[in-house]
Amino acid sequence: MEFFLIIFVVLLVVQSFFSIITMTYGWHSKEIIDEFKAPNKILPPLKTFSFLLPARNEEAVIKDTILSLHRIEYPKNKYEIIIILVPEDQKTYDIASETIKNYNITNAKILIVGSLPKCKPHSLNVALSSASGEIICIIDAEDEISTKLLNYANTTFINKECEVLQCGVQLMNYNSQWFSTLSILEYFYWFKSSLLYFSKEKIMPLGGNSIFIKKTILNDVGGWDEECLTEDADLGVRLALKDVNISVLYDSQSCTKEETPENLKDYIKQRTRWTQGFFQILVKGDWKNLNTIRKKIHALYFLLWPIFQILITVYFLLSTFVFLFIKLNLYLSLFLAIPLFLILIQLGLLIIGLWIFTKNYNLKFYWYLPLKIILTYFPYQMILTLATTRAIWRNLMGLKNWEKTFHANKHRIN
Amino acid sequence: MNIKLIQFFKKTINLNTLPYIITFIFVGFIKSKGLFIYPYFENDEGVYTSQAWSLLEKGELSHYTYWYDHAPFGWLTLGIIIKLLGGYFAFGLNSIEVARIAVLILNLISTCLIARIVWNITNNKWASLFSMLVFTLSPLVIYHQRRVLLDNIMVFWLIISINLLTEKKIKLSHVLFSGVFFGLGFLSKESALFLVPPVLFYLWNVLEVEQRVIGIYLWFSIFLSSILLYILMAIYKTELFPSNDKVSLISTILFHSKRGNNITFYLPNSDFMNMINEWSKKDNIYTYMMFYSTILMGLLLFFRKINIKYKLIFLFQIFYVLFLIRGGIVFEFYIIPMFSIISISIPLVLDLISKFFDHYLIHNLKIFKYILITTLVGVVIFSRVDMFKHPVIFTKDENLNIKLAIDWIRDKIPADKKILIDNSNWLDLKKNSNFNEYDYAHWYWKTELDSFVRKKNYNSDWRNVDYAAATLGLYEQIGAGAFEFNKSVLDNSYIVADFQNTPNYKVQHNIYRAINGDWTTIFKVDNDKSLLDKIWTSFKEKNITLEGRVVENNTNFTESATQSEAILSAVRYNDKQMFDKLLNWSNQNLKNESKTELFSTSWGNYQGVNKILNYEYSTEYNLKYGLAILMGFEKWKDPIYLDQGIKIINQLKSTNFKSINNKLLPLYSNTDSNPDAIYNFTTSSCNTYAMSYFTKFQSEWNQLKLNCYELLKNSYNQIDYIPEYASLSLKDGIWTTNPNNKGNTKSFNDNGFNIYNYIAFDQIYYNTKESREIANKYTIYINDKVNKYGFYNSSINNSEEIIYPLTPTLSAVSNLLKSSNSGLYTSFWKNNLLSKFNYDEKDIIESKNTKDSIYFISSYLLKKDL
Repeated sequence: MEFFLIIFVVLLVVQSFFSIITMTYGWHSKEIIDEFKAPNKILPPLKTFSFLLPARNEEAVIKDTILSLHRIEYPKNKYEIIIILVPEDQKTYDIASETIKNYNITNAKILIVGSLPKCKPHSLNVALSSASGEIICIIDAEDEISTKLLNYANTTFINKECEVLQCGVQLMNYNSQWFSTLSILEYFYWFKSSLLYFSKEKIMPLGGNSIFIKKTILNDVGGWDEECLTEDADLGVRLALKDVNISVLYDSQSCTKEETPENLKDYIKQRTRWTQGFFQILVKGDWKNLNTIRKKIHALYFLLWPIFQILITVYFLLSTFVFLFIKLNLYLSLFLAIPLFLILIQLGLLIIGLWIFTKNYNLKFYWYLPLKIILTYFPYQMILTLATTRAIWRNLMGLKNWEKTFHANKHRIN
Repeated sequence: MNIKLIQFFKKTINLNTLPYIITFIFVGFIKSKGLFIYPYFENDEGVYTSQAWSLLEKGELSHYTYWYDHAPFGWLTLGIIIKLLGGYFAFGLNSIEVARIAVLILNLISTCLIARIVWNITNNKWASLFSMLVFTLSPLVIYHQRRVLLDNIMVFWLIISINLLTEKKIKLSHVLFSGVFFGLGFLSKESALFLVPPVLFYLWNVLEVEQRVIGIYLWFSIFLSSILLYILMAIYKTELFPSNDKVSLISTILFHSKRGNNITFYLPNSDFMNMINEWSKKDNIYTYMMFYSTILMGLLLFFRKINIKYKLIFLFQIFYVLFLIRGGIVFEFYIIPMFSIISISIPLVLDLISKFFDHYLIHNLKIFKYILITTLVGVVIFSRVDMFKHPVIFTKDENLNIKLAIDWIRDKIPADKKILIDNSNWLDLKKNSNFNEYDYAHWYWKTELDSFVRKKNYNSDWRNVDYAAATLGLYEQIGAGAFEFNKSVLDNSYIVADFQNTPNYKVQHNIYRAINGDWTTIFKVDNDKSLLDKIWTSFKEKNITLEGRVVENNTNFTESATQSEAILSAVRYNDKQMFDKLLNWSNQNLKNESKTELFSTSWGNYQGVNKILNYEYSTEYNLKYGLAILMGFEKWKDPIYLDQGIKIINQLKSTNFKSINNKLLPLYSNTDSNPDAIYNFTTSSCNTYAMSYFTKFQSEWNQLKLNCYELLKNSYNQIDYIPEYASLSLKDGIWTTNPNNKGNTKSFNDNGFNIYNYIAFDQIYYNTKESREIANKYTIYINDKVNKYGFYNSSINNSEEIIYPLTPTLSAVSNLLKSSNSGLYTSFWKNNLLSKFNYDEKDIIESKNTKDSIYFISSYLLKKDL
């Protein structure tokens, strides 16, 4: 019992310590801060881009998204917008085509994908063949795009000679639900910091949107895996196999704004899908072919990330149980407490992160938010645990269908 | 292999690294040469080494009840290194020596890291090299750096932390790990806490604006975790809050906060000023450099152009000095962290001077820079010359006596004996399986302060201790008036082995004082008859002839005084054979008339003939003969003794007592010497104890005893104490203390000492009102003398000049005190009586003075209630 407890705590300590390192990597040094900032000097628009915008039943948000793409400050002849719809989604089609017509958006087109399988990666693969841009960018239906995004992307591709660029995505509805604060903070630290760390390690799961990839590279790796529920993360692993040069950009000015799901049910569905997708990648085993042990370990770490989140819940339950019912020796008790300190440090980081987030985006930092973070931390971990458990169950049951998340456009309220 | 080695050296040794390698070898030599011999093994060194053993071998935080004196990471660090070295007795060394190697390793790493910090900050190789020298070249530094002290371990962790903070390009990972190491420093020694504000100030200034909040938070939260971990430990052990029956973290913090004399730091006798004196004794220049340079550091803080990394070090120095002058207790080793700070700050100042010249002076004048810096460095290094001229740190063996004492204990003391020891001997005496393992040896400190240890091992009674290995630490505590139990142990002990070899001073065992720790004295607690057996046997061999004659060592004569005391001792000691021998000889040689029952006063060889030299029948000694013989009857039930005893006391009544004013009073002897109707009495003829004893055989002795007490009262009413003589003028009834009724005198010359024995015995065995009254009055007198002179001066002349008393007198006074004041008795026994024998068992046993020996035996018999 004690042996397993020690192994468990060691795992958790390593994970927590690593987590702190990745969470703070975005502030690691002046060089890192400068490297991932949006470029100060914008270069002339040399690159051409194709936005792929897959949408399904997104009538509530599609118009704003198309308009936000339309507002991008970049020559219209240098980028195109491909809205990818399914034949049965008439409402979204109507709004999209109406928006294009009403606003005279000449560089936008609608692509109806009726072939099977009906999933996002298939739609993207179909759209890829009709895209004319040198660089492909994937956008989600609810995304609010920065007007400077393409200027930044163009400059970064030229300056850094990269082949893939992951731009920041930020959930914005930080105070709409009890779980939304922690959810947006997860995004904040992921895009602001952890992703930078993984990009330095040259192995990272790409985000689902605001990702720029050279079309040649995409063709080279065979596009997106249509079987995978997290085709973006899978693509990240496969790009790492090719050792492509990936860059990351996070800046509140260039960030793509999104929203966390409107209700807990959708949120759990979304997390379940991500977790299931990660497990698929794990089982698929491409990561095993990475060229260094270090990369493999890092790949394994983020693919197992949902499991680590279970560890935290298990830790809370286990330590409470042990504290109440089992008399451990002093050293083991103290050892058992070390993850708690690391978790508390992370909790503090979350509060500081929220303060930075509100400051960066000119939002109000309500006095009660730190308290909310503290109070919702454990329930939030429980939700993540539930989603992970659900994902495991769905995998075991062979359920691989895409559970759609409803978007209410709350991130655009302001 | 050799090629690889050559390649390694080629790669490592170059013009850049060579000065470092040479300097490192040099400082390594200075730090390690004499490591085991100087300074002496200090109690605290044993504490941390034992606790390291306890933690790693037994899984317990301390070898005694852990009381939160310090967080345990320091001795965990120590224990791990000792394990890596091969254990507590590796290389055939003792535990403290092995622990000192561990500390040396940490110190050498710290030396390199200090050089690296200076290099990081200044980019100046010479400043960096100089820091290694400042961190080494001082007797004061060496004295403390060699010791197994938590401050040295704390410094090691803090130096790593500071090293990370002063990296050329600071990153959050540096900050994070700096917090971890600073936390470990705190968990090694809590004084690290006082250096936190400079770090926070530094981080605020050195980090990029975007990094600031997260960086400071990371560092502080990790450091705070170390404090919380310590608190959590107390919570787990349910020892956070004070309670009556348990140690607690808060009680210990409160205890520490109240320590010290609380005199403002700049006033004489403040803890700080006392320590300045101590430090300056070891290295005057270094001490004052440390404190005066702090003022300079304070001024330099105001220069905006000075890089924040310099200011961090200056702030460390200022904050640590603030800690030292805060008003609480300051121990000598509190200076240790200052060594590392000053070793960085002084080279930094020199570097600033250098940079100042570079920046503001034209090239031609730069020669001044070199002259100034060379002069400053030269002054510092030149001031160290004395260290090599009088190289005590390399050659003075302060531990030889301590090691000899341990060898002696192993050789002479059985493993089952209960010994009070210094903690620096703890592991070696208790846990070294190559020798006897003294399971019942315990650290004097815990025995005193931990009632559980005291009760469990000694039932809180000094009599249950067998030996004490006294060291400076113990004497300091007793001297501070804090260690009553230990003091009782030593008060009731005598020296059996004294290991000191101190040419300039001698350990003062009488007042438990020493000024250095390079000695150990083994005390045997006087809790059994072994010493008595040895003295009695030795006395018989040395002073009693085969026929049974007690020989005076100075005259070769025999006196009834000593002969009767020897017979009395024989019966009290239950030595019938010797009793008979002594009595037979007395019967055959001291009776000058065939009819007499009384014994003459002295016998010896006069002009070639053995004969009685003084025919007088002394009242005092014949009373003692009577007492001894009747006691012999009671003990051995031989009617011959009864017959002789009764005859003696009958004859005494008729010949040696005279009716004066209708009261029978004891004359000096059977000779009536009152031609002018003035009676001179020797007070010691009033053996009231013997008279009390005789009462059970003849009731009229009670009245004789009361008459004697009246006589004594008449005499001591004239002065403060019972004089040697009492003189009564029958004509006018005046009592005086001068013979022949010629006024009073305070003179007392040892001759009458036995009166105190008689009162003492009467008080102890019969508890008579009269004896009690005299005993109490006399105790007050002795107490005054002890308070006034620091010791008892029983023999005084009329103008109260001090004359050192003889052993029989001291023996008698000590007996009297046993009857009246046990506290005073114990210290008197120790400081007045035992001191006559240098506290040494050997001196007692081998004493050549017959009277000294027999009266010491008498007192010893009383001490043992025999």
